[in-house]
Amino acid sequence: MNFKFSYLALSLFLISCEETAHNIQDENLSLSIDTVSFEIIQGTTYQVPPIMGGSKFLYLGQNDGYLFDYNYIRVSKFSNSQYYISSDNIISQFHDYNDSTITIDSVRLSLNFVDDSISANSLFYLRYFPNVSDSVFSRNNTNYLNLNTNYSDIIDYGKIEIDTTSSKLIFSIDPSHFSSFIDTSNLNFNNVFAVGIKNAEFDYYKFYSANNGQSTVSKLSVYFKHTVNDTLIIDTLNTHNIIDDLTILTPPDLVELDTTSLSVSLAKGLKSLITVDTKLWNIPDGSVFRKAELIFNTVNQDSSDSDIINSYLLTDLQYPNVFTRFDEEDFTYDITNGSSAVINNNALKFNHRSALEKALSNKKSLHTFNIQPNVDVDPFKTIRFHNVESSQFYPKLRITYVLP
Amino acid sequence: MFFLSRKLMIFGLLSFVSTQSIYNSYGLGLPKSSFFAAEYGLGSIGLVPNFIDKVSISNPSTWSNLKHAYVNTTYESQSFNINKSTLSSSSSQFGGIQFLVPIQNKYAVALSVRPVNNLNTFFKTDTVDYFLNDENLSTSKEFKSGGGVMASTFSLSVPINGKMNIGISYNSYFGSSRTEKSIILNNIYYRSYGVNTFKGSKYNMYFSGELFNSDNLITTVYTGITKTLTPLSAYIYNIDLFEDTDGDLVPTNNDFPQDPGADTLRVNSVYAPNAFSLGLNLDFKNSVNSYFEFQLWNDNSQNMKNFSLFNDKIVSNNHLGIGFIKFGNLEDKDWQDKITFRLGAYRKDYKLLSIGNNIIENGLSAGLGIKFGNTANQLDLSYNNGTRTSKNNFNESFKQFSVGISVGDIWFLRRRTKQ
Repeated sequence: MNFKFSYLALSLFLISCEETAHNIQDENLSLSIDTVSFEIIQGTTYQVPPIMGGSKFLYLGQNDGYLFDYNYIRVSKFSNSQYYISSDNIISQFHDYNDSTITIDSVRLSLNFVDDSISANSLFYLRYFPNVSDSVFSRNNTNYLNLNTNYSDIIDYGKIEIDTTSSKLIFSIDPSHFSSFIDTSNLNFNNVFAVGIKNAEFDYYKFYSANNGQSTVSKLSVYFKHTVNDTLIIDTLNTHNIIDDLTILTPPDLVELDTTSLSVSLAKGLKSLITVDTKLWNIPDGSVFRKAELIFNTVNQDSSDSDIINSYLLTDLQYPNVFTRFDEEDFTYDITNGSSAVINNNALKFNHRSALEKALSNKKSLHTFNIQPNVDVDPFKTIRFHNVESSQFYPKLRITYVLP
Repeated sequence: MFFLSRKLMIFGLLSFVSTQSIYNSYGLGLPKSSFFAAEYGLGSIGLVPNFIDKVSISNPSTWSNLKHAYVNTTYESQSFNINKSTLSSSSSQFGGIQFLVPIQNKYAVALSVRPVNNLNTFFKTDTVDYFLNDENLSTSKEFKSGGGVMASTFSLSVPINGKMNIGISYNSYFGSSRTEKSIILNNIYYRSYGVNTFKGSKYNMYFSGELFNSDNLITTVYTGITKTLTPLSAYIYNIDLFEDTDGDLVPTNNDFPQDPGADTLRVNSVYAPNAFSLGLNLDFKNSVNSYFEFQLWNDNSQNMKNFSLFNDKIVSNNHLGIGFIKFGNLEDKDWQDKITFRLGAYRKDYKLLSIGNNIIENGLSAGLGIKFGNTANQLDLSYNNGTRTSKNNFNESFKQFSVGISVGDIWFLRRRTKQ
């Protein structure tokens, strides 16, 4: 038998061609798209103490009723570069400065103003937290109601240094205060300073936060001498970046529109809740959500508005049905299935299909979502949406799905 | 779920994906009644002689007339038009392979593998644009199915006497198919998949007997009976619709939902073909033969579970065919006398389960068989042209070109004793 034939047969078996499709009319073919809408049965705004943890800027002073009490800043315990004393002995962390060959001359904390030319009549001051062993503040939780005030007396008043391109607020820290930072018995020292202001009745000052990136980050500079031997002493410095910061602010009084519409604001601590009842509806077997759009319409008709708003499904059972002020927010967010959306043509549309798929699979009919500004939204901007009472622009949930 | 996705991917890579008759979208598709180019050329269901004089490749009761062992295979290329569309869809695929060995001019055995049902099809709809919920929406649909049922067959030919022979074959079904349904919304595919694996068996019995033999004419009758032994059962794997956001065909972490619902179902008795076939061949003793064939085919399966794109299936088929064949002889001097010429016409009447509307297939066929080499190798070429019409359904025309290669050899020769 000719064995070449075997190869030919195998080739014929494996070779096939994918060709063009038949084109047919869509008459009674399976797969279709359908839409169902649900009205919001309840909507309300609530207020929590504002937290500025995601802001790219730090503020001191007061403006438009906002009172910027303090900036809490945390310094990295690691220096930006390492100073080599010997092959197995370097100066990097705060406790490394305790070497017998090292003598600290001075310590300077510099904060970078956003404006490049500052003329201030105000008086800035610096405190630290020598008697607090924990982290002092959290960018996600610390606010004007729960801030840690176990700080020291004022250890320095700042000076403003202006050069051709920038302005800095400089604090000189006596090495005796810096000893808390380099204490070898407390390697997890909080490394936090509190920066405050006096005489700022009509002004506020804006600094770059660590959130703005490395190019504008504020620094702590440690100037020290290294005695190499009896004849050689080296003067040098290490810098430590600010790695975490937070403006503590007290919000202004609210206006009526803040509470009657669905309002969100970072600096006012405003968020809103809406509840939708999907009753007995569930997505048909084998279908897939294309969109589960939670739709809001802005009160201010500004088509240039393109702020980003976040929304989360809440998993608690009880929610307020009128405006309420909370000292602490304890709602439970479905964080993994959150949704973000950009205001576009005065409308805001969240796609909540992940959260709703999960909720509907658990046979839930009442679904409560909150909305809140994204961290990069102007914190002092209040964005208002029409509430359920609006005859035309009321919020709604519209689900689009594909059926098998 | 991940395992199933991998299976789908592997299946997708290995399975035959080609566009064929739109009627392959119904049930298990159109049942094949011809498998080799020699049969296609005559429009035959393989009952009457079509390969060489007095021999049909698919009818074991004729194999006692073989002088050589053969490996036969066929490759098919088809083109389809539906509803008089100017666009045609074409495809090509393997038709079957057979290893056939005659023993002492009395017996014969054969092993073969061939597709018996074909679900290969691919169709789509026009794109429709409309405005829905503040959004411009562009939508179309795509439907694909591929694979089908294969049969591995062992056949045996046994003589009764000098004028009558019987043949029997055992067919073991195997194979798999897949379906893919998609709706495309603004260029994003929403897909669902189905993968089915099949298992079952049937047997065929054949009889051939010489009815009449005169100086000018030999009349031979051929019958065949097909009976299901084990109705085809299927494992059906279905993956619910998912949004193929990343366009990689399978559900992944980038898609929605990341883990769509999946079902596995075993279904018994999804396909149980039974058939009776009758053929009559008139051999005019000048190498010219004329034939007549008739077949009643029924699918007696109890379970009407669907594997296909359309929610229907073919449950019966009546076949009627006639034709002429002039067998070539390698020992003749003139080249034209060495070539086998085939010409045939047939009509099939398929009945669908739920529509109650038959599909009528009319076909014309022509073919050549060219012998070459010392061991009666043969190259078979065939061309079929036909239509499938249905009152309330698709009308399609088709053309098929088939190439069959039969490589001959001599086995089980009685060796001469040494002097």
